[in-house]
Amino acid sequence: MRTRTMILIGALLLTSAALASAQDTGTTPSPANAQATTPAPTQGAPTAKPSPDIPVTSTPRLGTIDFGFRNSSVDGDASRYYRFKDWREGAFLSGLRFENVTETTLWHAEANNVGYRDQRYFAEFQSIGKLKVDGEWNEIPLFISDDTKTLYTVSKTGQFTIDDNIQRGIESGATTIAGVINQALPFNARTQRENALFNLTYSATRDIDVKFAVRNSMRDGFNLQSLNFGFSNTIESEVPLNDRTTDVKAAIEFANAKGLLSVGYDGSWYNNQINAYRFDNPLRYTDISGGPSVGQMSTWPSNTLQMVNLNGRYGLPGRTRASAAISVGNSSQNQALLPATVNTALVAPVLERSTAEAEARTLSMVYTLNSRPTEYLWLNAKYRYYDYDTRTPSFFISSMVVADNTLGAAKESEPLDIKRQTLDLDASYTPFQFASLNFGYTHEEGDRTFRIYEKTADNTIRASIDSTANQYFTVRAVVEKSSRTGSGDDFELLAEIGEQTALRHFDIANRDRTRSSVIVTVMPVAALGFNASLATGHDDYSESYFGLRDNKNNSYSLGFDLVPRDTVTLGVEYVHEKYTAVQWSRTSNPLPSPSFNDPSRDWGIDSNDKVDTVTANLDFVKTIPKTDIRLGFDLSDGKSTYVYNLGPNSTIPTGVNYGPGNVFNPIPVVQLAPNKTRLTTGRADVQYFVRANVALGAGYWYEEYRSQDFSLNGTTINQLNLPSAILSGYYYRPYTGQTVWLRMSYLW
Amino acid sequence: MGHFKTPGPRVTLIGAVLMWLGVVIVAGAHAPARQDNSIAPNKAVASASKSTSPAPADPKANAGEYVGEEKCLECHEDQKGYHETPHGRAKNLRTPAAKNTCETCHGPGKAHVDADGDGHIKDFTKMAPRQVGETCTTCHARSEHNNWAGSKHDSRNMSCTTCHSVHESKSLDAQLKKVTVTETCVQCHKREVAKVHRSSHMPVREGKLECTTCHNPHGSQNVKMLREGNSINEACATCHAEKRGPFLWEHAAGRENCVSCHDPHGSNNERMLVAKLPMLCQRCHIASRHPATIYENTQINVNKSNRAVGRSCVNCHAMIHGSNHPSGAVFFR
Repeated sequence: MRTRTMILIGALLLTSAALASAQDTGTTPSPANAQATTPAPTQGAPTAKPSPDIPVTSTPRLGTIDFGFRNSSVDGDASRYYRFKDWREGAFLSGLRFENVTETTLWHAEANNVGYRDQRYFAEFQSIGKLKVDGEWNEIPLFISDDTKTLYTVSKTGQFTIDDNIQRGIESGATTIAGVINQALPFNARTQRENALFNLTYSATRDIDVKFAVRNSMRDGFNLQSLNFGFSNTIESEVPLNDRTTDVKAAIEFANAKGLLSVGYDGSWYNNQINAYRFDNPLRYTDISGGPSVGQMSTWPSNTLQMVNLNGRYGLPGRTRASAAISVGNSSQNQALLPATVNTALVAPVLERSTAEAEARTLSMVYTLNSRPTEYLWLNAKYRYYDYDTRTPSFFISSMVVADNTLGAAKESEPLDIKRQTLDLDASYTPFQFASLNFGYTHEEGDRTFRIYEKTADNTIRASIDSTANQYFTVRAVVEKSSRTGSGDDFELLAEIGEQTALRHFDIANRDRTRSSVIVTVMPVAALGFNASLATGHDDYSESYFGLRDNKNNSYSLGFDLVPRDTVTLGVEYVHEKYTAVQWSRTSNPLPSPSFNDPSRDWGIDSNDKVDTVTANLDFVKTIPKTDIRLGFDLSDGKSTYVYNLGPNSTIPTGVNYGPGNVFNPIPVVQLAPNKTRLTTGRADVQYFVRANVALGAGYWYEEYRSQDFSLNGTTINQLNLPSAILSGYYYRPYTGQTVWLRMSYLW
Repeated sequence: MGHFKTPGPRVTLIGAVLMWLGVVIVAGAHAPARQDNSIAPNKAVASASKSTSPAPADPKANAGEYVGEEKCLECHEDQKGYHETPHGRAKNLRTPAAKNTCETCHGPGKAHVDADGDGHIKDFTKMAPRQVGETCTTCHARSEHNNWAGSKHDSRNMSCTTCHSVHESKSLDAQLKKVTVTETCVQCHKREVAKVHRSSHMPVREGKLECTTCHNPHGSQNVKMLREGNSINEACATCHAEKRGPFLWEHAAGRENCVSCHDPHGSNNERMLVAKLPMLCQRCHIASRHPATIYENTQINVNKSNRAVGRSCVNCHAMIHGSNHPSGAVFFR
């Protein structure tokens, strides 16, 4: 708080000096000049909001600064209100933007929400035409929960410990989880990402640029994750996070009117400071087979990616361009492997190697031929090749240890190779200057290993029309049909793991797809514009008996923008989206159980997800002298249902082998309640210009979140110790958050 | 739509390329010369805008056709503001200001002046979109814009001036016609922008990311105009490098495509998943064990099954993106 107050005092002093300076120089722009040019009817496009860092004027200026005091109050889940932002109460300095441009140099600096968790600084220097250097420091908070608890004492290095007496007591039966759960201590699950970027571009000659960039992304804090000991015991807890990604890019680029040639190198190093999570079992103090005293899991392995890129483009006769982009990469990690188990009561299988030896090579090639041989014709051909070639040796473990509990079956990894080849052919005919008829064809082939289809072929045809010829009416419409078929099927892979062989994985399954959309804009007069859109999509997996069978999406939008006078802008937009899906499954026991092939045990889920989004903006800019008023409203109202369907002559309701202890529960299916999510945001910002370049202002932000979720609600998670889980108490909690700003803005 | 028979890949590729080359050769034979930068003196504005000018004007070649900026500003005083933009920085030899100022982009102005301002000049508001693009990309042909020709936006007959304005921009950066990037994109991409208002979203509406953080609207060598990498997964791993792997045990669907499970634009499901768990997992996992269970209301609210409550499947399969643990085949560890 003291730091922020000092910042505010400093800002006030600086501003005082600047005010005096501004008065002397007489360069202060007038309020009229401070405004954007006369708003076009669509200026009030309401869905996009100014960065809520603070409701600032959007006028491009050479220099701006906002500072003042902010007060926030949250009733309910403060962590969700503050998830990616830090609007805690106190003094603030934000919206700082400084730019000084001369004939030869440019200085530019920005700062936002100084001293808070989402602060950002940016600075740029240009020796115009020769050198451009910029750097950024950008912090992004991720506040996940502030009302969660854990029995663990969690170290930053990944050790999760529970009081030995609790473990002993529960193991001996002297107490239970229910008896000790009140000892769980509260924690905040919160991480902080700090991005540092540096970019340099040196223009060696008129045609040659040398580029260099470094980015450091550091994450620190505690996330929310589950640790588990198998089916009977899963524990949700805070888990430490401490990693860093360093990216380096270097390139030299030559370009002139004829073409372009560039060679570049990309390197990325991900370094995780925490190699493993080692966590006590609250149920046991000593190891036995089927019950370890401690578990251990791997975290994200540190890894490296390196890539060399070559880009070329050359102009050919007939307004034709040929271009190529080739990228050769290698990603790898060779982290030391953890032991197969830390349960001393088990004979851990000997590992065939001590490190991961994981490697994948990538090769990407894109070749494009683009031409506009006449005024009326535009042609484009693009061939894309992408190969993800896994070089990781297959890993065999003679007995996989299931959650440090028991020795399981042998397992062998299946290094996945993916190769895609895509050919896009597009033609566009322009009978009128602003209207084009476009036709396209895409053929994509996929090759992959260890999946049910070795190959897939996807053929797509599309047609679109884009007309912007009429100032009163524009239309963009597209219709697309595609068909994907698989070959080289290996359904035995499914049988080997006990899956139904009639299952198809939707991401590679045979699929017919139809998609279409149209966007229309009507502007009967310059001050009024209407827009409407309609989009439909349908994925039909007609050959999939199990798995996702059908997926549809439909949406439409309606909106208008009104500028009754130069100083007033109103924009409203409504978007309705609907997504549906059908999937089928079968409740059965493994072969040779007859249930495996019993269709009377089939069931499905019909998913239905609807979301209505409303956005509105109303701006009065100097409608009242010296005063800007900006109002905004957003609403996202979603409802999703998952309805279970049973097959004909179903036998499921009379014998389902699930539930605690895997006992049969002779109960009918009770449908799930719908999930509902509603996020409402209202904002108001008023600025009064006491001088041409000085404004006093007040801002108000209201945000309300309501949720009803069948598995993440306070009724279901009404206690931390559930029958087979110890949770942290995280669920979707509602909140109502309000923030008020009182501020002064100075523009120069 | 039924499945149409797929020709062999080589046949398809060779045939398509040959067909395309044929069209280019035939049509190209009638194409105007590439460097044709002239504007017929007796054509109207609309006709003038049809001229092609892919290369910046050569002042030596057409010295007599140029009138200079001062002459232009005699009538177009209100356009002087371009001096305050990057285009106006004459010290940069790649800018219009370093060449023929206004006439670098608008073409030689003598005929326009001689006609008392009636046409004979390139008016970008009246030019065909691809002609605008060709003019701008004579200079804007480097890294960021290298892939414009043939990009998705180019194919839909968009031009640079669909989104940008040289003289009347409203944004702080990039000379956009709208105040923000999101306002620009939402004009066409309604659904994608609506999704940033969902409860599970990237920090777009908080101002930490914008559409152009992931996408390059000028085209890219990646799919979906993604700015980084050569696949969707490579683009995602730019920020989520921890999920890049490669891992000892891979989740095939995840390795194939992040967006099979996640909607990066936003979702009302936890972690931007395209559907609620366990239903999403059950779209692929129909095995004869617990995934084939109906997790209906009794399971969740009475039995409180740890396979459906809270984090659902990832209560146990926590390392679902891939595991480096020797016993991590089912992503428990």
